[in-house]
Amino acid sequence: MKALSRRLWLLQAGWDYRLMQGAGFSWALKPALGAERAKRHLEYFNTHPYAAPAIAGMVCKLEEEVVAAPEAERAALIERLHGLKRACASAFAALGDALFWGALRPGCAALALVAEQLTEAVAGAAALGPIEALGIALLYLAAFNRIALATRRKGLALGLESGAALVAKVQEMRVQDEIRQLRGLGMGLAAAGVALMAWNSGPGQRLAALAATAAFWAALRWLPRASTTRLYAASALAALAGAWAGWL
Amino acid sequence: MSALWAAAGLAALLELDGDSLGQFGLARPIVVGPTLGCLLGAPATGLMFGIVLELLALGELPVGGHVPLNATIATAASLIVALGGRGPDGSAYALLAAVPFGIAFGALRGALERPLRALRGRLSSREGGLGAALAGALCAQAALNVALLSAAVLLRPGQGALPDERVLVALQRLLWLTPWLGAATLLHALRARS
Repeated sequence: MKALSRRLWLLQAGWDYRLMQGAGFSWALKPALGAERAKRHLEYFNTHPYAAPAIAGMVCKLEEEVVAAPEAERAALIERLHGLKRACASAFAALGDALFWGALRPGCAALALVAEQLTEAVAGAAALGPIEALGIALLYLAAFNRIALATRRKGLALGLESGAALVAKVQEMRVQDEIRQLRGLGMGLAAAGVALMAWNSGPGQRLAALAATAAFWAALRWLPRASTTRLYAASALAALAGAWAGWL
Repeated sequence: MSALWAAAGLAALLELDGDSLGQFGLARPIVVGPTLGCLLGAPATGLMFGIVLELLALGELPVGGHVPLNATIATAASLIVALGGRGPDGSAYALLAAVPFGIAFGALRGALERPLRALRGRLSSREGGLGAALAGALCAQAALNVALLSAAVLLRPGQGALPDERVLVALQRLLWLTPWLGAATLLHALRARS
């Protein structure tokens, strides 16, 4: 299983539009299942990358059941296995995106922002040397990977243990509650980080800074098709137009 | 100058961790920024660029088939420009132009992800084993990153004549606005959803 676990690090190395993660998933299963059975998994597969180990564990467990079953039952069991794999992939994709991209990643970014702004507020920008800079990067990595690595490791074990009952086991874990808590914690850190940014920007600029933040937030929240990249491009064009017209 | 090439090479390799190799967070701007900043002798600048680009990148999610802006390439290209050292008159301009330049390169790398994915599809349908296909795909991705960041080193602004004064004013205003756009993106990313 160690080989499977390590090979899953390359789950997305071969990502393409036809198989998506299928090539990486099949290759990862080879040490556990053998070439023939792993080849059966060279098909469309797409889920959250940190949830893939749990599904891989489930697949290994179910493949064992296929091998142990009488010949007449195998085809039906294989069809059930692939159906469960597809269902888990979709369910865990949504859950993983909400947990890792929607809560944990921005929360860790907020933590790094608070650390950097606090250092600046207390000791001044000149205090940010290599140790502080790399220390904040390590803080981010530690906070993020504490949950990400645990999910991969424990997910594989849970999949191997639960087999077809994996989805029920994950539902018992009430991941949505964890997501809400993480998001709440992240929002608190984000608010503190933004407040520190405003504080550090100096008395003459605080109001303008907070007004700019509120305007951008409102645009992201309410303008259809608004994205950070589009707002950045729009800001660049507005700045250029304003400078050309002599307003800035 | 050799530090710039080293930074470009290191960033090209770290980018692989973003989606293809490991996904341990090593490709995130908050990690790449300070790392390259230390390599280029300006850790504080690296950290600040890393944080700003990390916040901006939170608005670009790799969900479904959407190909976001490549935040690693954007960060590396920004720092190559900002710390590229083109001389006293050019360096202030370079600092102002760094983030727009980086974002343009990040967007270009994002656009090049589509043909890269098509190449991966062709590699995995060939005879010769999936392991070789995945290794080939990683090499192609690394080569693309090296090519792009080499172009960033060679094309970095700040050399020759400075642009019109109005462009510099616009870049100054944009540089001031950028962290607040990052702050708004962070708050928006963490908003409560029903």
